[in-house]
Amino acid sequence: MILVIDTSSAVSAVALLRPDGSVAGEQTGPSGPGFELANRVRELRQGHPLSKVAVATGPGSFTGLRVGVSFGLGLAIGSKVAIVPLSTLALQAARSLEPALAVSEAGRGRVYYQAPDQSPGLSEPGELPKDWPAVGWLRPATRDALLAAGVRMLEESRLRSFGEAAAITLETAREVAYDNLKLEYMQSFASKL
Amino acid sequence: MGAGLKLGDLVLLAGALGSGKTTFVRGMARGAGSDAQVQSPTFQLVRVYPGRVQLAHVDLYRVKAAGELADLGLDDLLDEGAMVIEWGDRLDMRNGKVVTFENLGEDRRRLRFESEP
Repeated sequence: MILVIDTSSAVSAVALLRPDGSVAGEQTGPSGPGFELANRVRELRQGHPLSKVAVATGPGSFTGLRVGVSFGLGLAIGSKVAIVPLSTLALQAARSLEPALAVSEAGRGRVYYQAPDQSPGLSEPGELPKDWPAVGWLRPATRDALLAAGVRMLEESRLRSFGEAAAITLETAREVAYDNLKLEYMQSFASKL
Repeated sequence: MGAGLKLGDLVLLAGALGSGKTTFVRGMARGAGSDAQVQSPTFQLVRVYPGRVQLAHVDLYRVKAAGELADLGLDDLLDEGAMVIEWGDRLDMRNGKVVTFENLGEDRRRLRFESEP
């Protein structure tokens, strides 16, 4: 079984995939200590052995990223299975059935975004490209700001589930060495040093 | 200044060692409604004081590289409350208030307040 963890954005998710990529189970909930990552993973696994752990490595929340990635990496090392980094924005893009602008919560009213076949960026809602509908997990206030700026958000009911999207993203993802798992963290503070 | 702090406010402090930056932060924390013990975070790099508004107290004196700066999670702290940064002149920032401290000897200090647009 493949365990997938994403705690990088406004919503956190865990999914358990069978070796053929079908979804054995998944859970989502608001990010934060209330998400109880360890308990949810235990519930989902029900003792099934893991063959691989995949974690969302951002861009995303500083603390959220570290929670999911360190938990997933610890589990992978302890279980002696591969760790696979997945881009937070690629996961969201894979939820859409059409080409979409992937977005994720960056705090302070801003969003991380990635247009199809382009590099990720950090933007105010008003400056997002509007050539595609948007998909992603945002706080309600940030989502409202995107809508007010004229961005069309795809409805949850028309999207693939997190687990289904993870299975698609995993098809082209590659495992990395335990000591080579990197976070994609984009900060707005720059040093003069 | 502490009493007027809001979520997302950023204050950068500049001035030599012993020019009064940490003492100034102590006053800001009181104004922000915190009774936490304020000390220089030279070694911890970040201290967080809960209050009417959370105040993150950052010291960049020992931060030598951009990679270390990224490990402080400053964006998240500014998302959770206000932030004051000692040696804040080491940041390349376009927003935030700047307070510059000058030691005039003994117990005299000159403070200059600027707002970056």
